[in-house]
Amino acid sequence: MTAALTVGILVTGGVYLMLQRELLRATFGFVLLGHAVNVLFVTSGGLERRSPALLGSNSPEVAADPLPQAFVLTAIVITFGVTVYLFALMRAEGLHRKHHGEGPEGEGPDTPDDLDSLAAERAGRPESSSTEPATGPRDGIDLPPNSPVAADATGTGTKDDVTTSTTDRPTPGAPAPRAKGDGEGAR
Amino acid sequence: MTSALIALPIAAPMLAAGGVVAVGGRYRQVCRWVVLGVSAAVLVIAGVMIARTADGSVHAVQVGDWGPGISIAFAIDMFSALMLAVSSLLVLVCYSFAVSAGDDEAEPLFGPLVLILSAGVYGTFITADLFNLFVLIEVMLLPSYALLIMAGSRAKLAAGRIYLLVNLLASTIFLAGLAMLYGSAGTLNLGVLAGAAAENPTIAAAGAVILVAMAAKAAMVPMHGWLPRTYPEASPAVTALFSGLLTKTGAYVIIRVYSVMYEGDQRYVWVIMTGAILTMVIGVLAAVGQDTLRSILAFDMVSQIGYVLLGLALATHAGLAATVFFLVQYAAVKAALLLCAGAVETAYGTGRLSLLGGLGGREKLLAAAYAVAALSLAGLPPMSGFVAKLGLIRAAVLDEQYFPAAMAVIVSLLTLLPLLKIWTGAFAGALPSPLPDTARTRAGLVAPAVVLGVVTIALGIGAQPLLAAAETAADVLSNPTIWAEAVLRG
Repeated sequence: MTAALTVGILVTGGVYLMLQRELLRATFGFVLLGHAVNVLFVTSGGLERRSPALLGSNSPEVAADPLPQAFVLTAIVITFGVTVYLFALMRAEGLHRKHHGEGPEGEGPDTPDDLDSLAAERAGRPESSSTEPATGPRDGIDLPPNSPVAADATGTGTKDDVTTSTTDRPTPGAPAPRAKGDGEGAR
Repeated sequence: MTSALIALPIAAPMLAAGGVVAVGGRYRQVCRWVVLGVSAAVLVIAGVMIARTADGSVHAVQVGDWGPGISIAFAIDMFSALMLAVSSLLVLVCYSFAVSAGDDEAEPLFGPLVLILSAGVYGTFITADLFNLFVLIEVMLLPSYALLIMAGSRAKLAAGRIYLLVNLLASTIFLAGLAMLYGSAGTLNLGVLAGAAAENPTIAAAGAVILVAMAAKAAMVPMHGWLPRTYPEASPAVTALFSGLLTKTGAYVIIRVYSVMYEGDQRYVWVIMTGAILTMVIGVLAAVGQDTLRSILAFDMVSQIGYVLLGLALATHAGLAATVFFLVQYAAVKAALLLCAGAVETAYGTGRLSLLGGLGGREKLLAAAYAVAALSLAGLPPMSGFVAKLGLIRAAVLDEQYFPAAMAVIVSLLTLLPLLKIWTGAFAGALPSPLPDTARTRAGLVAPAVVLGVVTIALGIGAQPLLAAAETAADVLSNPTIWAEAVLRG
């Protein structure tokens, strides 16, 4: 029962965070979801038997099933690796934004396919040249780089910016430098 | 001897990747040959295993000498061997293309990443343990995250983000499914689980979670949205590699798990059938609306996954044989198309149809390779796609499933539409503006697509060996006790 509730709560929190726009929150969502699955895995081995699974010192009737524990250990390592990669991606996005947002032209089309997003950027630039950061935190992920949508983003951008700066603060844990870097890019 | 052959496709690329990283940038040329050599070696191993499994036998090895059922087992049957062969061929071809396009100079770790990715893919085809499958899929995905955003532009980073989050979610769901499966069945060894889902609805429900996660990775409608938004952003060689390896892996796992664990249970096939038909139709219609080479091909990729699953959903021997044939030839055909698109993009700097045109006269060989692959994909004789689709439709009619058969024919015709759009947009007509004479594809960029084009013609005209092999694979798939016994015997 306890395990079931724990899994339920973790999944709730995980799904909620995952549906957020910011990559940082989504990452924490995945961390929670990963924990939920780990608890689920440990539960699948049976929670009643808890003695160490050592031949000779414990009979198999009371020994815990070691296999789910090994599975969970592997899963933790993999989740950890991917989480670090997500943080690195976040950092890269922040740097990229900083790099391209502050250049004299601020474009440097990476490929001709970027023309759309470039046009969108140009469309957004004149009115936001003073409030440049407003376009900064725009998420490439949910907004297809079409000019009409991107033009809207300049309106919602300021609101986004506020939430970014306030929510980045209360997470001073491990990812603090990344969060700061991200914030810098968005500044 | 056989056991070494089974373990090598995983071990060799991993070791080689480590070695290549260790010697690093000093001997780039050597590193290239190592990547090509290892992939060629796996192709040879796959050939040997095809010969050995031609009698319908299954070869298994218990890693680490634990008892059968406890140890992590690897098993190769005809289906695995065929997939191994086609994927190692694609690694060879796509890597050659990447070298010509200069991908491995832009990213020094390109070669090792491809090697690790391929090790994960090969492992997925030969593992007989579901948890090991999860690990190998992660081994495959981790380098793919890096390959996708290589030399990242903003669009690439955004695409990498979607790709990463979707695949991470699918992996987490997969893992949750494994936990439920372990809780209800007490094992994750696919050999022990053979037929378990057909008998026990609880296990079937747990298995369904796994299948849903795999369907997301295979980009089955309605979980396809991520693929067309991410694949076209990668570098051309990487798109071809991903299309040939990653989505096919999802399809492979669905086919393997459904045929072994569920024994092709007729009660649940309607779910797969519905998904397959929706995937076919929605994918092809969406492809028509795209305006760059690779985004058209990416939606088309979604559509073709529907065909692969269609044969599985028939759950007959003929259906499975047709699916195996389709999957093997389609991987090559699709990669050929994407490499053609990649060659155009690399040489002319854009894949946007409105900026292209008249390449047919300028790039005769490339245009020919594209035409062959496109007609094969649409299912015209004498290319391999014709044999594959004919097999699928025949299997559906034999099973008296006329609606799927009709849909397969209609979608096949519709497939011509996006492919013709590329033809008229990029290859036919006049050049949109005078191009500098230097903008021309080099031989190294065209050769990979031509090789795959020749493969599809060869598989179309000389279809008999592959048809026989697909029949053998279907024998094992439709009678999973053979496979399970081999896995448990070791």
